[in-house]
Amino acid sequence: MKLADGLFLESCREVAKKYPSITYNEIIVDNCCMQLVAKPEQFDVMVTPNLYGNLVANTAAGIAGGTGVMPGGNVGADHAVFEQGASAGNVGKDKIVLENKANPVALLLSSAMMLRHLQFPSFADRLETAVKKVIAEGKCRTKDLGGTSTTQQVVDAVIAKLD
Amino acid sequence: MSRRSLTLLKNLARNANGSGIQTRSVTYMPRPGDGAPRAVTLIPGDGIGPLVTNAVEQVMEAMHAPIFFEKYDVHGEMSRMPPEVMESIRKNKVCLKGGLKTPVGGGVSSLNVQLRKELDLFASLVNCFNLPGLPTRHENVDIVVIRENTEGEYAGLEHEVVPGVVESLKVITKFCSERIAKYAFEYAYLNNRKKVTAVHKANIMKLADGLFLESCREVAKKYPSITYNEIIVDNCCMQLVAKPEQFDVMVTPNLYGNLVANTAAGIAGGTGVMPGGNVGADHAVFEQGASAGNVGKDKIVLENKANPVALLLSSAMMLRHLQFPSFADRLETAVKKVIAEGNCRTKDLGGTSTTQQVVDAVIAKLD
Repeated sequence: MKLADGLFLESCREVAKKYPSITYNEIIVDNCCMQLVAKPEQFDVMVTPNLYGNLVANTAAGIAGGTGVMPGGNVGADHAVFEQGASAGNVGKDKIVLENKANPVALLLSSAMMLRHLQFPSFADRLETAVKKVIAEGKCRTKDLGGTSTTQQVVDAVIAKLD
Repeated sequence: MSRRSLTLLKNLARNANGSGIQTRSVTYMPRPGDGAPRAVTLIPGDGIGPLVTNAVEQVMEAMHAPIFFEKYDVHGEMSRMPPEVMESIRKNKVCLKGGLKTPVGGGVSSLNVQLRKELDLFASLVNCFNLPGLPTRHENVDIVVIRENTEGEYAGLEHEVVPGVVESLKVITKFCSERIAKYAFEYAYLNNRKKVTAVHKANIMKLADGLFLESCREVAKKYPSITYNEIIVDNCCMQLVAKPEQFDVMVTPNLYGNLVANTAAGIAGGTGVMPGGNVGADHAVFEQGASAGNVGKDKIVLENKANPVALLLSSAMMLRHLQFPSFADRLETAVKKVIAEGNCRTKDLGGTSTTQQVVDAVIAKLD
């Protein structure tokens, strides 16, 4: 898509010139998908147009642990909306709702991002640390991470780990 | 016991021990004249293309396969496919090619895409599967991605509305969607596959992807024994990296197919080993499965370290397409033995061999 994606690339190149200390490179989206599953460590920040970003974000989220844990948000000049990172529009299966087994980690981490955005860093740190400890311990995980806990159990565990 | 039945028993016992990997099935009976050599157009292409197509030539020679190649020199910088090449493909109906370099950004449109459009090769097929001896994070992966190859985001219709604003048209037609859906179900039916999954983003592109889905649903009704389901493309990417075993045959519009095929190829072992081809009503062009337009890094070309496996397996697909199943089986078995043994692999599979070393190993393993 020489004109459309070409325009996107031109804009990126222009801006890259103003940040000489940041390495800038480009990758075609099909090769990118392949590299993501083969060698994701090579990527750092990725800037993409709308559709490719949707797909790349979901693939990367799957690679790194699943859409149940990745945080994210949307921001504009005047406002910010925080929600689950990947598959944000996904409302989950009815079964998960009925059994209260939804994974709260993604939204908890997104709310930590929100706290930083609101400039409350120490609250953000406390929240993030507690969540990471719970995940690291491995005893309290929802179904998508291979465990059997309910949402409330994960919440209680996080609260217990807050300092 | 009579002497005859003793001999029969001895024969049975010998066969049961198994000589080699395959036992012979009921034989394929050719029509007289089926063994006449077929002409196949060969386009070595750019970058690693000449290396890997040469690998195929050597192996075909070693097998004395009933194929002879008509070779043509085509490069990505050319503005069009040369007419004599097109004529050759139209005459032979089958072509094997390496990648042609595509210039990024404005200028010449991709020759790979041009070829597909001119011959109306409307279906691209990539088979992504685990190879024994090449462990990846996921087991039991055997996905066939059938991608609409002529329209969609690759319609090539873009214009600058005002400076700084570009419109790019994604065109989806009932005609093309129906025929790719028909091809996918027919493929599944002929190859005893159980499930066809349509990949789409109809929640956002309601009309375009919606039309694609409608066409798939219509065709699905005619194949009640094949399970049909649909998946949104972003969830699909995530499922591919989390649980690829759930997928069987996938039918997709053009761009999603490109991305899904590459992701699936990466999951199952890398683009260096996955075979594929493009087919239309009258012609077939076989090339490396995923990233077919990729001509590889210069360094790989200089060091002759390109992986010929993908194109070798694609040429096995070509042999079956030409109805030479036993040659296809021999080639595929030899390649799989070399991969399973593990001591002759190119860099992308973690080894240090050159292309020629892999070719020699395959030829040595031919029976």
